[in-house]
Amino acid sequence: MDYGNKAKCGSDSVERIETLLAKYFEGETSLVEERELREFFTSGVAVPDSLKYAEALFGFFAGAAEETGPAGFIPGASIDSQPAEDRNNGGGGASPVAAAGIRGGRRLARIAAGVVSAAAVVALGVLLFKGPAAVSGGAGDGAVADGSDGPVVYCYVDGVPVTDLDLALAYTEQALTHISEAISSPVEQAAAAFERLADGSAMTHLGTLAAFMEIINE
Amino acid sequence: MNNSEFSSRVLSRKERMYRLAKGILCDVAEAEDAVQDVLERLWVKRAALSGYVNLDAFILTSVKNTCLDRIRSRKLREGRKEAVAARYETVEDPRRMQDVTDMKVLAEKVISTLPEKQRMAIHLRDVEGMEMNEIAVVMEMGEDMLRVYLSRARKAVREELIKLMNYGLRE
Repeated sequence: MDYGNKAKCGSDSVERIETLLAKYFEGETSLVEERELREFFTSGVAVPDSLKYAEALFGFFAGAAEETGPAGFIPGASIDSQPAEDRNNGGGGASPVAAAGIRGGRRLARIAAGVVSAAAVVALGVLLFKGPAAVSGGAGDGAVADGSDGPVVYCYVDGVPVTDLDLALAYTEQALTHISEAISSPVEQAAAAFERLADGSAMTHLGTLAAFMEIINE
Repeated sequence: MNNSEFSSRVLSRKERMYRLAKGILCDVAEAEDAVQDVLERLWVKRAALSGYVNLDAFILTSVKNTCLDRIRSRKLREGRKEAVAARYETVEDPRRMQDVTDMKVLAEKVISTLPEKQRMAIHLRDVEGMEMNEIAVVMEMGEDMLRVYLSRARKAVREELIKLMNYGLRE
């Protein structure tokens, strides 16, 4: 067999791998053994043709494990947070879910045209300023930063943390302006209004408001 | 359960929820929607969630059930054959596959054609690295049955992959 330029794998290790593979396909390997298989097949070592399918399979598993969702899935104000303080204690009633993973376009259809209560706008402000946003661990372990190391993050715009309060306020004002413009039109025209929005985060904030309204109207 | 607790115990799981939903539905947009639906329902019942002993399993089970419901309505609309065929449409000709990336994409496509439970078993074990007893709770089945599902799924993928790859190598 021609292994090409890659490091050759010894016949002992191939034999061990084949034994582990047989166990794997019976569903009898432990997590440790499965990790061994995955590491072998993603190490770049040349594998015999007969095991190429396993290289594809374990390579796919390794890649899939690192997926976190498409960019913008958790847009706008970060919700992976344990805020050191709530800027507004009324934030207790606002839904953190509303700001997590909003797809403005789809929710748009459910906005009752022209219905924007003052409370909803205030709540939106609260959502955007829930306090220092924390960084969540990649493995979803809920790791939290308490803001004591380094600057406070007020919100995220397109995934980029905003640590300047004036700037964060400016983004909010911009978003609220876009939202009130869009909602004051009938729903059909609102879609056209959104075309004019250059800033993706404004779409997101609209989605936040829409989702919040759904929840408070339940 | 207050906002912070919901954030640390539920929202922090969103990536894993997304990966599972995508593994089951094989569609990015649908996976996003499914996770969002589940998160909103969990938010609405957040008061009851504090009492759950195994909240993680409950969250994943909710994702599983939501996704299976979507598949059922999808099947009613399209029919399973069409759904499977649609997923294979964009597969590259194996004869032209040069590198590992192409082969990984092929593996993903093959897995997406498995029946849902087999697909889920593979995802929770081989992608998420969960223990068998944890997976059994999420999938609401016994461990012995789970082992059978996993074995069947892995063998089916192997068979299909080898078939497709040999077809390419023979040319």
